[in-house]
Amino acid sequence: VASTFSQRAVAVYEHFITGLTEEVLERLPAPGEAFDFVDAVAKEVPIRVLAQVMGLPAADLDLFIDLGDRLIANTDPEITDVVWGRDDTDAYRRFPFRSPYGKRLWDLGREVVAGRLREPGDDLLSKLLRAEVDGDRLSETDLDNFFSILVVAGNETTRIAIAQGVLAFCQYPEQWDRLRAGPDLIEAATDEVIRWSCPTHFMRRTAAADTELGGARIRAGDKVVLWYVSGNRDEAEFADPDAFDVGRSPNRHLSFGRGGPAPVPGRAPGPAGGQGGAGRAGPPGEPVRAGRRAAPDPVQLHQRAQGAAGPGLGMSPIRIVLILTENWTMRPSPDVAGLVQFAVEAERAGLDAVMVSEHVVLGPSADAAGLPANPRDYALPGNQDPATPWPSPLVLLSAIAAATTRIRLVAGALISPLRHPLTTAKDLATLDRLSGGRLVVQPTVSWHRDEYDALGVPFGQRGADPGRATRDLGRSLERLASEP
Amino acid sequence: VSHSGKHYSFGPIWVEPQPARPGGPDLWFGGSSLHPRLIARLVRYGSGFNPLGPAGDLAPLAAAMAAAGRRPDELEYVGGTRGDFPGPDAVADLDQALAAVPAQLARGFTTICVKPSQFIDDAAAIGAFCRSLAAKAASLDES
Repeated sequence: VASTFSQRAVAVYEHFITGLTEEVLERLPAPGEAFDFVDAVAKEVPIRVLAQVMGLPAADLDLFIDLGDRLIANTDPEITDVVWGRDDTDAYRRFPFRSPYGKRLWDLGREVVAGRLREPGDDLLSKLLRAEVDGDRLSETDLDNFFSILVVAGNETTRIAIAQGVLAFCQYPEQWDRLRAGPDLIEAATDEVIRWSCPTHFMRRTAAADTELGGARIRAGDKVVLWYVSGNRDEAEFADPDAFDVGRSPNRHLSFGRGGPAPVPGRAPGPAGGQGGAGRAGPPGEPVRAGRRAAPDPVQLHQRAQGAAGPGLGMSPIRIVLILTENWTMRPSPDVAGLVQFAVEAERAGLDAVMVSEHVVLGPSADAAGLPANPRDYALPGNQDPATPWPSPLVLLSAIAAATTRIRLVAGALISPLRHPLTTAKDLATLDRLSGGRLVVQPTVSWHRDEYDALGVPFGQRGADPGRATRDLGRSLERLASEP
Repeated sequence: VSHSGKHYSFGPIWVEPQPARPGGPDLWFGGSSLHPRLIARLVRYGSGFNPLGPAGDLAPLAAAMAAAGRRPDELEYVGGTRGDFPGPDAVADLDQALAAVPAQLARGFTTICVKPSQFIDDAAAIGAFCRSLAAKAASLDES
């Protein structure tokens, strides 16, 4: 299952994350008006990604995020009212960070898990409930810990990196200019932001074997604190470590522990193989390792879960496309608005795409080959009742774009010779924008001469060169895209 | 933009807004056979191959992709399911239809089209159908 995380899967999520980021930015106040960047952007983007991962409405997550903040800032009286070291937290000693909010998160997590057990989807949590690790299903404690880690690590680190990254670019505007002039630097710049911001300052691990590190003797079972924030400024590793340098290479930062920034969407991790997270936490034989299964170290569990179910994005290598047209045999027969609802349900269930095919009109020869034995079968050349309903694909997909946020929209058979390529290019560009880049188009020709005749388009030319309209469309789009 | 071709000529003209993505929407192509023009189209513009039926030998496509400096697996290969109807007025069984999927996955097809009306008649059951489909797809993927 580790192969889940293909570059292609990442590319799909790139579209999704780009789209939701644009949504977040569009909601900002007009230029010149002050706003809180952390609340409006740095916090909002990871929340929306998390909502997708958990298959929950984004609005439900505010509470989780607030609890996560109080949990992790358990020594900061500005953030939590139950402060470790000041208040009596003995009653919560078995919960994360000895915090009452750890207990709240576990309780809420169990409610969400129960919901996913009742109605499984393709979100990460549903996958995790089905996942086996080392031959075992995840225990209730594993799931409790996983849920808190997802809520805390899945939003807090990204929030800090985004906010600190923007701050760094404000402080070093020449680095911003450099990135704008050389967009190829984006991967190196992302690593540098993660090194520079180091969202997780330190991590505690439990030594699995006796060893010696930097002259200090460490015995099996000792708790060891790893200061990532110090490692990220190590002069022996980084030239001029205090400089913020968007072109820094190599950049073996430790912000996600040993093994590199695998959890960052937008790139594929190294081979995780069967070693799961332990392999990422350190190479075999690495003396300082995550805790044992009996008392799961949340970080190990987090990484193990990624090995089992991808990078926390709920992606399956199988992408299911729900065909929306050709469903007139269902009762009540879904009208056009009903098909929008189908798409909403498909997105909610975690399917990848909806597909809408096309005939502009049908003529008397549409059923020349006879109707199929079962009306539920596929519509094929010459097997259709001339009155078969085929809604306008681009209008229908526009309505679906407005009602959904993630699912891809496939115009599965757009009969391009029937339209002027510029009209098509404009409609497609507008729909691509409306959907935040979720559009897929399959240009095609139709087998149906009556359709060409009715629209006054010569059928013969299509026969002579079935690709011509496609080619013209492709060129139009290519040129549109290449214009500055 | 301007363009001069056999069928259309125009420009210079301005077409705004442009697509959300620099390369425009993803383009899939298909056809009843993997003929040379289809291969050329896929290599030049394609992000996916949706053959709408048996795809035949994929080797010529892979070779053409490689010759153009593109990795064959850059293309998304789109397969499908087809219900086997026990009678003229009966729905097909989803598990039976999905049994054809692993062989497609083995050939590199990762995207599978499903038409719900082949498997259910009740439009109100679409949500449950989609969830069941997602769960079954995930278990195929784990097997």
